[in-house]
Amino acid sequence: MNDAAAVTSEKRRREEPLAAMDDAAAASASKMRRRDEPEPQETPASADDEDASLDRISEFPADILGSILSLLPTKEAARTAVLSSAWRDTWRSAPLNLAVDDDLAGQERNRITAVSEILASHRGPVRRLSLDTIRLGRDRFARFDGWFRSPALDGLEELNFYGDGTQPRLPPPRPLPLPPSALRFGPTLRAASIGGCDFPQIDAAPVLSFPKLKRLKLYDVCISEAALHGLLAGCTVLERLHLQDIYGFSTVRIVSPTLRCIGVSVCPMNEEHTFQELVIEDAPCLERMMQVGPVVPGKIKVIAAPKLTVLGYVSTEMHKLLIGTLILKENIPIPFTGSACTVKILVLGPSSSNGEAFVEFLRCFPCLEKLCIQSYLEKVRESGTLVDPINCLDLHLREIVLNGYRGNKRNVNFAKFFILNARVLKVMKFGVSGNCDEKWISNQREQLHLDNRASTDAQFYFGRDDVTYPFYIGRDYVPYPFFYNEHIYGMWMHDPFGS
Amino acid sequence: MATREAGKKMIMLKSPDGMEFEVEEAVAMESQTIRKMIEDDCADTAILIPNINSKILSRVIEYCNKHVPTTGATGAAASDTVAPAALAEDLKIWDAEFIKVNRATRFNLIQAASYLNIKGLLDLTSQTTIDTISDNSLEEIRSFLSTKNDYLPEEEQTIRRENQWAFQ
Repeated sequence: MNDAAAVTSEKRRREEPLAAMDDAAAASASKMRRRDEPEPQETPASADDEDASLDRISEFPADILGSILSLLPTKEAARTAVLSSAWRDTWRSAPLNLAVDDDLAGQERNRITAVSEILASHRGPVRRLSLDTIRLGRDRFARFDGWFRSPALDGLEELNFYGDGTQPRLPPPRPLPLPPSALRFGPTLRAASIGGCDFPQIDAAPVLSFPKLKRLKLYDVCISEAALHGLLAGCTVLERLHLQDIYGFSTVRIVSPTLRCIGVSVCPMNEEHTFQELVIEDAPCLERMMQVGPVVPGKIKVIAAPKLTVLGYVSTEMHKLLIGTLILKENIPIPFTGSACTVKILVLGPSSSNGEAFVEFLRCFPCLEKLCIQSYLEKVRESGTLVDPINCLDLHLREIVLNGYRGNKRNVNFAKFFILNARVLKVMKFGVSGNCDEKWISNQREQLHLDNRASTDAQFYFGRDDVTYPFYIGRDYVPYPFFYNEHIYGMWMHDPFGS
Repeated sequence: MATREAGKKMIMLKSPDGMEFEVEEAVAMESQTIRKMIEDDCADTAILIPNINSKILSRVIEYCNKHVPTTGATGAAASDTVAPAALAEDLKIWDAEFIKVNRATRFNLIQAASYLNIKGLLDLTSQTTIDTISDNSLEEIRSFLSTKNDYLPEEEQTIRRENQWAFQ
């Protein structure tokens, strides 16, 4: 850019915030500014910036306009039809992101009317339907079914459905099923989140196909084993599977050439039909396995997952965890067990194992790079008494997050175990529960004997565990306590490792 | 293709008003449109960017410069030590400053982002426009868009009736 142009541009930029601040009066303001402009001769390029801007937005190609309008709440976007005749059909023909929420209408019955009217009159493709604020009742079942059959929803790419607001529901009676007409979106769906309902019995139906579905979340759902396996078999490109608080079967077996992330939890209120066992039979792309609710299946068996890198939340609740040749019973390795060499990131939950067992536990993950610990062990072997080296402490463990740290003797001993033995440690973060002022921190630093650290590069940080040191996996934040957060690990929102 | 420094490929972008901008290839490739040109080997000499004047193009480049991910050994180390949240927060603040422009410039940026296929910039500019429109009365939106209401009163009534739910 030449100097003159640069100066003009710089000058404009300084003035522009004024215009941005008062857009309602922008038309008159911009005229005034033009009169005051000291340099009357502008290049044609910048002159057209101001003048021709009048209703430039209406002249945008339909796809840009559509994408801008889709950012507006549905109701406001629909109102643009009365702006002028140029806007008459813009919203009606634009792709629609239909979020049925309080913004659409405050009362449930008004939301129902709005959905019916929109689906009847909208001509553009509905890309996403989020329908979780209208309770699915017996009297409304036919209406929901009718909505799902509406031609406006042909080609739906994302469905977010929650049937019934009351939970938990103990069978009998079972919750109402998802209207089976929703399954017609199979060929076009890219993401689906279905909750609060009984899943239709699809085992008798023709084979289901979800050739584009990459993300599937079922939560608070009753589903039979046959239906679940039939559903999963139809998902040929699935990358993320989230089975949260589901019930109605005992074992799920995962065979998927594309799955990268799986999260599971069991409906805690349901004694009958408990989800007891997760078997990863063959998942060559699986990178993460997560716990997404307070209760996990008692048995988890990973037969073939050569890329399993992240093991989110290992706790004693898993009575048995098998990964290849590795066998843990309530977090304690059985004698002569194998190891899980692929795991690099591990989140460790409540663990009843003592120090001895913990050392053996660490040996099972020889390539561990990041370790997040959410609770403390009773006793850890005193430092310096490590006879046999632990592979991950010697070679790989770079980052440790200790949450729920209180700084008592037990905590200090536990932390010292890592400080004195982790030779390649780069960062250790203490997520302190309770007050941690400077005096407290300097006292802790002394107690921890940081001068004797095994890794001279290591840095140590202290902060409140809930705000200062959240634990990240890739770009995803692991909340603490983890299971209170609906968007656990952001697994529903982001790609693993941000790729 | 011009090169500068160790291993950094440079790309020349030309605006229709004759300005030339030399940018790193990685920066230019924030634009999916340019990325495709480069990948298809259509970018040996300067790339002409039609319909985007030098003022807008320089701002687009400024945006891409800021948003290009840091790569390489030093980049990886940096992203490890800086919390991702802090980094994202910085970018957010920068974006908020960047988008303080008049609406004409903003509309031009929307068109440029759309043509060059730069998702982050399109989202930013669109969202800012939406934030301006949102929660305003129809009259205020008309004024903002400089759109005249050309409906007859009865026509407007019909449209309101057709979308009654939206006007409650």
